[in-house]
Amino acid sequence: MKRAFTVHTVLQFIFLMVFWLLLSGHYDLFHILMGVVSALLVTAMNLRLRRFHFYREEIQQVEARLKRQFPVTLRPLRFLYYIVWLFWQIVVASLQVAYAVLSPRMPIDPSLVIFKTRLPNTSARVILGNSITLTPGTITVQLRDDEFLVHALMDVSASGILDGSLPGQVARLYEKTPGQVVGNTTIIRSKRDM
Amino acid sequence: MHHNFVYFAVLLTIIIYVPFYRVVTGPTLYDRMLCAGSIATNSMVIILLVGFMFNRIDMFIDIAMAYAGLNFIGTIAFAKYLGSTLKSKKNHGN
Amino acid sequence: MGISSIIAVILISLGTFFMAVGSIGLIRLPDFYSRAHAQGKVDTLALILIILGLMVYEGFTLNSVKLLLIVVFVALTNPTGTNALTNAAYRFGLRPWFKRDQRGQKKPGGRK
Repeated sequence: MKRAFTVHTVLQFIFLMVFWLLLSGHYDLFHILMGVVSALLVTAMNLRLRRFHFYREEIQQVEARLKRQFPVTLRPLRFLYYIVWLFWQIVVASLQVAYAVLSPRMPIDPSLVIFKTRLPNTSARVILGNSITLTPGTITVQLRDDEFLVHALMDVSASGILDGSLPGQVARLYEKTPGQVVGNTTIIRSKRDM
Repeated sequence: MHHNFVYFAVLLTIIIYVPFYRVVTGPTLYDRMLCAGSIATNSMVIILLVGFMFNRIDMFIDIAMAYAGLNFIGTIAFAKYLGSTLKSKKNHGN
Repeated sequence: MGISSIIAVILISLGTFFMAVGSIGLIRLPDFYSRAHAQGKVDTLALILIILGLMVYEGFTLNSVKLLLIVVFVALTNPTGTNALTNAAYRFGLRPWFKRDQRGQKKPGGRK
């Protein structure tokens, strides 16, 4: 744990330094020295912040999963493929919303979908939450532990989640053959169901 | 080529008025904040186009970046504030 | 005008079209949650398209790398911001508009 903390500190410094070099267009000694000082200052300010854990249960959960050898590292090639796939999904989603907005009768039929996922770690859940917002017809409303609450704009739009294709893609970022990822789905279609 | 950007900038400036209508008349506070975010995205694009028109894109990119950051932090602060403090379901929005 | 300028103009026109669609969606859609669809997806795509067009126009320089940085930042933060707003609205008690509730009523709208 201690060693991971040091490694993360050094990584943070390198990341900040690259960011500085990207943003400032000057590469002389004075400006690079100023960058080193600023990056060191920000890293030092973050040291105490990073020792403080906001969600203790969450961290314990993560550690427990780490010991049970859950996959925690991204597969880089898969991640590149995922980005391209996601961009295509965004285009499809925007065309769908554009069709719904521009057609005079507005064929929308909103529903709320609640489902549970079995994803390997917390960052996978964050990726899934953001991806749901960007893919056709659905936005994440609430995310509590393993339970997602999703608002779907049209009748067909929740199908990508219900048959598990999008969560399956996210799970495949971490492991080769994930099993059943989605379960316990509930669909709410009117105020009486809530 | 730079001169063509001015038409896009004018068009986007006209488009800003559409969500602005929702900011003024929106039924709930959340609608207003959502449309304010949309206006912020729109004006970020306009800032970039203006940078190309003035040939000072190196300066205007930094302004656009700061604008994007401020937009995100503003939305998060608003959501945090309204999600945690307002418990009453009456007298607000609607 | 070279080929890159034409590609840039096409991309920026597409982005402007999507920006207009997103703005019209904010006016036409019936309640807050549906409007979040228009803001969270369509505006993100519009911004990505316009900045891609500007990158094509600029060529491969430090500025276009910075523009790519803006794209990555916005693609990460825009859905997060939308999620924060919808989550706050849901916790506040704002209920979505359902089509099936509107059978007997005349006036649609994002009412609780």
